[in-house]
This record gives sequence, C-alpha cells and structure tokens, in this order.
Amino acid sequence: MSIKTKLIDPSIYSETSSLCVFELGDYNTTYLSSMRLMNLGVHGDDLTDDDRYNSQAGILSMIKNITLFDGSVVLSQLNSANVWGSFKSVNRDNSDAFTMRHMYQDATALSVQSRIGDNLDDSAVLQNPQFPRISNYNEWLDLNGAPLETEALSAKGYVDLRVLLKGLQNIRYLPTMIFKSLRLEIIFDTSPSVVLADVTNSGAGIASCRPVLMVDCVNDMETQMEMLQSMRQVVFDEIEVERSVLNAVGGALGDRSTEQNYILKNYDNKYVKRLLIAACPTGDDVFLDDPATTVDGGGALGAMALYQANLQVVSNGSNVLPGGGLTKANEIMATCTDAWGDISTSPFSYLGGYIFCGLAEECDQTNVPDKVKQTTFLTRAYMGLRVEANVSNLQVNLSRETTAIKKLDGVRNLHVFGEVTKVLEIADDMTYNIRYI
Amino acid sequence: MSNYTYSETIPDNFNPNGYTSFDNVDFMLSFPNRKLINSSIRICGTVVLKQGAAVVADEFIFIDQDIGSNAFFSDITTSLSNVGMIESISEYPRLVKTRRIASKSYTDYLKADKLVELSSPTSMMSSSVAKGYTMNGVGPSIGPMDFSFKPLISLNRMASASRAPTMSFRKSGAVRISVRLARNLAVLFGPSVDATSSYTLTDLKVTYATVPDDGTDEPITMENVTSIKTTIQSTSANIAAQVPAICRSMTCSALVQDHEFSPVYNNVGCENVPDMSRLQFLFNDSTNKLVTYQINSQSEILSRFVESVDRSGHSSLSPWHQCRSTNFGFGLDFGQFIDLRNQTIQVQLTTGVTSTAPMIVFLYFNGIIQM
Repeated sequence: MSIKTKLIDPSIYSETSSLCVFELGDYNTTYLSSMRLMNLGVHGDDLTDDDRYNSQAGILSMIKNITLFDGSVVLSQLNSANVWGSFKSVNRDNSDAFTMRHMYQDATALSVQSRIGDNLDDSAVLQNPQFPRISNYNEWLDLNGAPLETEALSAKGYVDLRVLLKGLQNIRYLPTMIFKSLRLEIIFDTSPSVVLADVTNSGAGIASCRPVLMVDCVNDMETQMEMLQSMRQVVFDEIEVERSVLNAVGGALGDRSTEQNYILKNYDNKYVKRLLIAACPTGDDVFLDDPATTVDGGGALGAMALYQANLQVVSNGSNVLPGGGLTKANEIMATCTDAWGDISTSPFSYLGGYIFCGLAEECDQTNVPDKVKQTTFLTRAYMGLRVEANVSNLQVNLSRETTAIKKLDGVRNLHVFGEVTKVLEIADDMTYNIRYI
Repeated sequence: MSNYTYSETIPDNFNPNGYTSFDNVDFMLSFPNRKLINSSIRICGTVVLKQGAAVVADEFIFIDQDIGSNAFFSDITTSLSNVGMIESISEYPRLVKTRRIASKSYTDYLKADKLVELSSPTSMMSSSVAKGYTMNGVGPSIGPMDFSFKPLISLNRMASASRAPTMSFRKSGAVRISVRLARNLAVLFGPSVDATSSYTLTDLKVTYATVPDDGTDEPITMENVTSIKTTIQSTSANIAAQVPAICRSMTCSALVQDHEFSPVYNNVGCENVPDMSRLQFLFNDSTNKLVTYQINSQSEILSRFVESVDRSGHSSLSPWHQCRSTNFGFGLDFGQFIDLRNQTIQVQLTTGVTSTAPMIVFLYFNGIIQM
C-alpha cells in the first residue's frame, strides 16, 4: 500500500471573507481521516513581536465552524469549534503538556500548560510567593513567534482535523467511490478580541493567512476495496452544540439569580453520552483591564467561573444529578473531570474567580499588584457530566449568585456541547446512510 | 431506565452541625439491580478551619499540599454485606502522601482532579483555598470551601478483563464505607497552630455512579492496602511483619516520633531516615525460595521506593527535597505476587536513628483481592 500526501489549496478563500472551502474530488481515491489544516494564522498591519494568539485556544481561536460535506450531506461537523478547541487545549494531563511530544504533534494551542511562576513580567509578582501566577502558557507559540504584519512573517500553526471533527476518529477512510463530492467548509472568526491575546495593535484590523489542507490518500484499488470492507457499518461520536445566553445577575452580594431553564431541543431523539457546558464571557468582560486591551485567559472562548453555581440536568423528565444537583464549585469540577478527563487548571481558574482567604499580606490590598488581581480570572471553569441516555427532552437548569466583581456577574454566552452517537451504514450498491442511534 | 446513574448518600449518623476530629462517619451504598462503576466513589464535603471559635483568616495554618482533603480521614474501612470487610486502612493520609510523592510532580497538581481535593502545587495555595472564599482577597471568609476526592480504596481500584470494571449489587450486597476523622493536629500544622486550632467538616456525602445490572459477572481484582506502624530507635533495626495478604510491593515512609501530632510539623511528612546505609528485605517468593534484597545506596533506595508505587519514575523526589528532609521513602516492588499470609517479611535497616530521636516507620503492603 502506498500512501500519498497531497497539499490542497482552498477553492474558495479570500482574506476579507470568513468562508474557506476545500474540495477533495479526486476520482477513485480514498482519503484518510488524518487531515491536517495547515498554515493557520492571522496577520495585521500593526501587529508586533509582542502580540500573541489567544492564550488558551491559540490558532484554533480562528475556526468558528467547520463542516465536512459530501455534496449536501453533512459527514461531520462542529460549530463553535473555537470554544471546543479552547476546551480541548486544556483537557489533558498537565505534565504531559510539558513534553516535546505535544509541542510537535499539536503545534497550535494544544500544548497549553498550567505553570506557577512562569510567564511573569511583573517583578513584584515574582517576589511574592503568596501569588504564584498560574499562567496559560503556550510554549510553542512563544518560541516560534507572533502574528505579525504579513502572512510570510506571522507565526502559524496546524491542527489535526480529528481534534475538531470527532467523527473522523472512527470514519478512518473517505473513499470517493462512496463520498463522491467531498468538501471541507470552514468559517473563520478573525475578531481581534477572539484571536489575539491583546487587541492593542489590531486597530488596523487582522486577516487570516491562506490555509492549506494536507491529506493522505490511497489510489491503489485493491487496498481501497479492503478499506471499504472494513467500513460497512461505522459507529462514531460527534460533538454538537446548542447555544444560549445566561443572563447577568444583579442585586446585593450573595443574591441568587432566578434559575434559568434551557431546553436543549437539538438533542431530542439522540443518544447523548456526555455534556460539556462553557459559560463564555461577553463584551468587555473578556478583558482583564480598563481600557479593554488584554484578553483574560481564553477570553470569549473560555469558560468563566459562575459564583456559587447550581447545576441540574433533566433528561426525559428525571434529574440526572441526585439531590439538588451540583451546588459546589469543586464538586462541579470533579464531575466534569470524571466525565471528560483531566483539565489543566489552577484553583483561581474555576473557583468563582475569587482570591482566597489567605495570609495577612494577601489580605492587604496594597500588597496585591493589580496584575495579580486581574489574572485570577482565568477561564477554565467547565461544567460537564455523563448523560448516557436516549433523550427525548433534555434540559439544563442553572443559577448563580451575585459577587462583588462586576465582570463575574455579566451576561455569558452559554455553549452546551453534547457528545452524540451516530452510525454510518454503507450498502452493497455504494450508497450510504448516516443516522443517529 | 438511564444507562448511567449518579447517586449520593449522606452519613448514617448524619449530624447537621458537622463532624470534627475523632468522629466516626458511616456511609451505606445500596444499588439494587445495578452495578457499581470502578473509580466512581467520591467523598465530598465542605471544610471550615477554626482558631478557637473564630474562622481562620490570616493565620499561618496549613494542610498538606499533596493530599489536600485526604488528610481529614485517618482510617477508612470498606465492607460488603455479602462478603464482609475487604479493606481497613489506618494511617490513610500518609498512604496517600507516600503514593503521591512517589508518582506525582508539582505539575500534576495543576490539574482539576487534584485541585478539587484541595491539593495544590504549593502549601500556601492549599492553605489559602482551604480557608474559604473571600472577595478580592480582603475580609473574612464569606463561605467555606468544598472538596471532592476519590478515596484510595479497593472499590476505586478494581480491574477486570473488560475496559470498565463494575461490581454488581447481587454479588456485593450493600457497601459500607466507614471513616474516622483525623485528630486536629494530624491535619493542621504551621506556626499559628495551637491547641485551639480545629477543623469541621459539613455536608459530608459519598457520591458514586452505577449502570444497570446486565446479569453477567466477570472476575474482579481489586488492589488493597494493609498498613503497619512501628518504631525504630537504634542504628540497627529489624522490622518483622506478618501480613494477611497477597502483595506485589511494599512502600514505607518515616517520621521523627516527636513530630507526630506536633503543631509545627506536618504529620504526614515523609522525613529522611538519617544515614540510612543499608536496607535489606527478606521474604520467601512464590516458589518458597528465600529472597534477599540488600540495598546500600541512597539513590537505589529512592528509586526502589518509586518503583514500589509506580514504574513510570515520575515523582516528587529530588535532591532539593532530600536536603530539606521531605519526600523520602523506601520500599520494594516484589516483581511478582507474594503470599505473605503464612510467612514473616523482614526489613532490616542500618541507619543513624538513636533512642534519643526514635522514628516511626509506616509500612504499606500493596496487595490484591479477587471477587
């Protein structure tokens, strides 16, 4: 078997348009699912060496939606891909993220690490061991440069599409004998506050670099027929998303908001394995400072903590979580890691954005540099759980309390990602059907 | 019926005012027609640290950074109503500490599964978090901090031929998990700790997950631990132990006797055994042949210790730690399962320990049981 690697240019692309389309139309070819989207990055006239990509999502921040079509049939799709990518970049063992393996394998944002005492530019912080700043650190991006003025100069990365299109982890072959009109469509988001870690130098706007799709393919007919035999029926998981808005909370410190109920129609009549909930900040809440320039952690793509959140999920009329649901921050995070695997984070990143009751110096505001106060609002407060049920009615109930910190109380974009199961069935006449199970 | 069910149970001896040192707390897990999922049991609660009657705020009071909330539970006993007692771990916090230093480095504590236990990379951070929430770092605590940890018990350490081991209620009957809370000075340490320093746990519960019983039962193997505590007070010491278990390794740590339950010293500290120049293990292997391991170098002592817990070599042992008399241990991976039920295992040490500064040695035998 000989595998060829091809570079495919987009058939539709312009810097000013958000749409990018790749067509995979070679006759009698089987594409492997190990597709890589290369040359991802942005450039802007005023960007300098000090600029960086979103510190949690890296260059994944620019992929808003991604869909693999065959004609008009959706084979695999992920909307809010940058929010999902932001989660996947921290959804791993923290020690593992330090290793070279991930620097090369995922030369994008997928090597985000949590560290103490790193990435510090404030000597006061360095000298104050009470405040080890937990950084959202991306070694590769720091080593390899910044988004700059031109496409040629900008640091760029790549992503293995199996990270975003989960279906491709199981649909390992894409024969054009069956999928006759393969097309990869990407909607880019090049908003500076989403893609960049600091918007100071983005006044003149930023544009995407021209991406390239790298695919491995097989042309040998005998091998292709063997591959076909192995994929008569393929069960695969897909990540779907339902978006909503979580209202701001007001009133006095500790006032609980009215419980918001979200009916997730998107998951009706599907087998839902797991849910992941990310309450992403909006507006100026994505920034650390005033005037708003430095993005806080993952910014609009990260999950900012909800103070004293109460979470309950109702599946087919029954509570999924016992008792009153999840009512405590560590319990919420524990349930999430049990369902989705470990998350590289720090206490400051998910415990409601608090600084903690500490030693005398810590409690003295004059000894707390502004930068430290601000950087406590990192954005890794994910909520998640297992559902493992055929769903005819799925609801999420969420409430939280008012804090003394305005940005914690603001409106959030609520992304509810669900892992659903599908099956691809291929008939003898090479027609196929994809359905939910 | 849902395929996957989250469940929780509150203590049989529920106390709305919370639990403090030496309290016994019993949890009964009942899941008829269902199977318990491996590694799904968590103990959850909230903690309030107090100095006298006041909630701790600025005081220098710490809990161990590596084990977090595990420190509150000194003994854990697990019983199945159809089988009987399957495990009784005394000195549980030290067991967790010993295993953590031999298998985790500080980067491992910047992960959610450790942070939710109140473990963290620095003692300062663990202490701050355990003291509760405040806003903007000022003023007293506005609420206690919660914790959630997976106890290192057999039911969280099941293995079977399938990828996801489960234990049916038919086979086990109701599960009883009994815990005894550690004394205050076994948990808290630091310059501000005194006789009035205390902790209170509230909202204690056990959470677990089950799936429907499909009527099949496959053999389950569970890892369990047998612990022994002894004292050495001379340069040449011989520890002989009879362990009612089949074991694959033993792991040991030590503490200067005067440091036990001391307000200043960490009660789960794994301190250096001074001038340990020879370490020898004697036991019969599976063919009843006497095996003697003699170790004479410090580096080998430490590497054998790490291997007795985890073969990855990833650990918190470093020259920095050795210089500060922290994160020291010794042990041996037997390389096979040894039946220690009908023999005595001996550990012989040549050290600088004297009768003026005796050390407590904690031995943990890592074994298996089958159901």
